[in-house]
This record gives sequence, structure tokens and C-alpha cells, in this order.
Amino acid sequence: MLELLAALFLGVGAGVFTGLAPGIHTNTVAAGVLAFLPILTAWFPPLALGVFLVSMVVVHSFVDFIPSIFLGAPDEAETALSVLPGHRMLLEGRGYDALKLTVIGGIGASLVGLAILPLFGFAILHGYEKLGIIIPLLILAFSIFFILLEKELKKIIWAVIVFLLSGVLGILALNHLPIREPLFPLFTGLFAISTLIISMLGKNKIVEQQISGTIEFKGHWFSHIKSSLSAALMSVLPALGAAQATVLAQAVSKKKDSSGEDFLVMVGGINTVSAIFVLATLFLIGRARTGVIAVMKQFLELDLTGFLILLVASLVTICLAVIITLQLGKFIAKRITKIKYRKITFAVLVILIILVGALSGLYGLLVASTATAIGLIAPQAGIKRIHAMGAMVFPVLSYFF
Amino acid sequence: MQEHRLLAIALIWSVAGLMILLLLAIYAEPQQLQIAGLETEIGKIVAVTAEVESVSYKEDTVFMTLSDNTGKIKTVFFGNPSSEIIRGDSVAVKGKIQLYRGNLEIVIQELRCLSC
Repeated sequence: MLELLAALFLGVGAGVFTGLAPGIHTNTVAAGVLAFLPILTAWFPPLALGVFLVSMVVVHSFVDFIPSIFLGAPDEAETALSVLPGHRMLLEGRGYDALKLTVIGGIGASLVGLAILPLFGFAILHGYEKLGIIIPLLILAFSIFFILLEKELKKIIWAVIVFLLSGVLGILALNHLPIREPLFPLFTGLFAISTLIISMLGKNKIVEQQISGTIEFKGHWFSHIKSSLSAALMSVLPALGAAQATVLAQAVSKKKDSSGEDFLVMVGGINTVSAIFVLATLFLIGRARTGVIAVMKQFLELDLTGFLILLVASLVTICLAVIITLQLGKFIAKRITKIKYRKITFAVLVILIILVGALSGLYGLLVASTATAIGLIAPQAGIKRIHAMGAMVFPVLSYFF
Repeated sequence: MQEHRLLAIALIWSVAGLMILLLLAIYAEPQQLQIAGLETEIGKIVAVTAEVESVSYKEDTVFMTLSDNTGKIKTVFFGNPSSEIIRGDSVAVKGKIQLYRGNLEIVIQELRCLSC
């Protein structure tokens, strides 16, 4: 019991670190766990390591919005989506409100997610095997659907270009080049370095931030339901994740969300509730849908008791994450005008490049450089960044065909 | 104007980068290693030449245990090898090192039988 508690708090600490440090993904820490597995298992039982990973992912899913909103520096596809409305609210002096919306989304979607978990379990247990052969077709269909959502022909063409370029890069990096931790340079380039470069090129002046209480919890239930359902669907399909779930949830919204508030609630919700659904997917059908879960699968045989312990750990962590995120957000919002924005962005950029070099070597730097260029295309062409998830979709499809 | 220039640079940079990586993928041979040295190579693509200690076929998947004078390792190959591999054969494999249920294994991408 003590080991589980210690693991939970260590996971919370790791989640705060990965969430705040742009470019450091939970997968990176999970890869570290994997590398030191023989030493770690001497100190902690496998279930405690599972609690550590789950707590880290949940806290990360909340805290990650702080750099996304306040620095415009996400480290993954999911939070990259929040940059536009979140950063816009920051420029209006409402960065903390934007953060609060993502936290509200996290709480609401988790509650709805828990309520529909038995239904999700029933559907996945009885439906997944029947999906079988059509899974790659579904992934392809969703990818095409997301491209067509761009509506204008010119944007559709750019989306196809980004999808194809990132797909080829994904195949080369994951299947053919001798790179250690290929996902790290791939995603760092596609989503972090490219955003930091754009952020540095921008001339936006950060205004004094208001710490108001104008954002209410109520009134977002429909968004929470949409978040949970789309996250549940995407948790089952390989290569598709929270970013795609957000676009899907947005696509089924009839109401025009000009303020971007509903969007922030949904992206916040999907990011958190996905952590619960991917855990359930591992328990029910033994499939890993994220890097962290793939690591967990290698050392933990998940039975019902183990699953319930991890579920309770994630709920406790959600409560802690809410408090930590709001307090940290308030602290940063009050000081944002004093922060040397460009210098921090530049420092983060340099750190990321050093990390890529150290972790993945020369090949990693080449992959990150190409990924950065591809990551720059989407915002410059005015299209969604999720098309760059071709980097995961292509390797997964190559496995099926 | 600046946006268009950045877009053009990004596109050229992407295509050039992919071509360089493609050439590297074609010509760069993975490191040839002995089995004992694979522990530190998790996530990397490596090349190993070893003897087949055991082999089993299941649908379109081949499971082998390979050994050399430094140790042994389990492997999995999704596909059908060009010739039937049996116990005692010498094979050259290229693949990714990963942990499966706590044990090292090679997910084979290229399989060549040297003694068939």
C-alpha cells in the first residue's frame, strides 16, 4: 500500500515535470522506466510502477495545457490543437480562463467517461474482434474524413501533402532507420520544435492577465459527452488518438464555437478521459494504444484488481491534478508579462535539440529536422496539425497490409 | 508574404530531408551485433547473424530462438520466409529490438537463411 502511494506521488511529480517541460512527453519517461526496469522492479512491484505511469499520464494531461496556452509550446498533437484558441485568449488577458476551461473539460469528461465505462467495456469485449480486418480501413476512412473536413480544395491538397510527407517520414523513422527512441525526434519535430519556431517568429505582446472567476463548471455537459464518446472510439483504434478525437467531437458540433471555449473544454476533456479509456482497452482486450501503455504491458499482467487499483489511482490523481494545474496556472498568469517569453522559447528549443541528439543521435536529429519542416507546413497553410499524424497512421497501416 | 516564404522553405526542406533519410535507409546498414550486446539497444534496428535453436510456424508468423556464442534471444517474423528454416540453420536477421513481457526480442524485418 505504501509503495502504491509513493508511486502515485512520484507519478504526480513526473507528470508535472513532463507537463511543464515543452517537448518532454510521458512516453520519454516511460521509455526511461523501460530502460531501468531491472533496477526499478527491485524497488517497486509491477503494480506500483503501473500506478506511477498512470498518475504521470493523468497529471500530464492537465498540466500540459500550461505551456500550450502560456507559451504556445505544446509537445504533442493533442495539446497542439489548443494553441490557437488558448493563445488567443492569452492575448486578450484571459489565459487563466482558457486553462480553467481545459480543467473543467478534464473533470467533466472523466465523470462522463466513468459513467459510460461499463458500456464501453461491453462494446469493446463483444465488438472488437468483429472489427478485425476493417480496423485499417477505419483508420484510413477517419484520416480521409479529417482531410475532407478542411473543406476548401487548396487546404485539402495541403492536408494530403502533410499526411503523405509525415507518413513517409514515419515509415522511414519507425521501420527502416537505426534510431533509438524514434518517436521522440518524430513528435518533437512535428509538434514541438515547429510550434516554438512559429512562436518565436510571432510579434505578439503578452498583456497583463486577469485572474477572474467568470468561467463556470455548468453548461458544458454536452461537450463532456462528445469528448467522452469520441475519446472512447479513438482509444480502440491504433494510430488515432486524442487529437483526432477532438476534431471528431468538433465535427459533430452543430453550434458555431466562435469563442473557442467549447473547443478548450473538449480538448481538455479528451486528453484526460483518453487516459482512462486506453487503460480499459489494455485490461479488456490486451491492446496498447499509447506509448506509456505499451511500456506498462511489458511488465504488468493486468487483472481485475490491478485494473481497479489503477482506475482509483487515476481518479485520486485527477483531484490532485486539478489543484496543481489551477495553482500553477495562477502563479504563471500573474507573472507572464515579466517572463522573458522569447528567451524561454529559445532556451526550450535548444534543450529539445540537445535532448534529441543525446537520445536518438545523428539520425534522430535528421528526423527531427525533417519533422520540424513538415510540422511548419500545417500552420502556414492554415490547416489542422492532425494530418501530421500520418507519421503514425502509415506505419500502422503498413503492419496490416 | 513572409508566410508564403516560410511555407515554401518548409516544403522544400521536408522533401529534401525525406530524400536524405530515404538514401540513408537504403544504404546505411544497421550495426552488426552479438546477442549479448543487444540489451542496450532497445528500440533500435540491428543486424544479428546466429544459429536457429528452435523454430515454430503459426499461420503467417515465424517464431525462432536464435543463439550465438554470447547468448540467445527470441524473435518473431510476420510473414513467410523465402525458404523453410529448420533447427540448426544459420540466419542473418535485421530487426527492431524490443521488450515483450519483460524479455528481449527481435521483431524481424529482413530474414535471410545463410545455410538453406
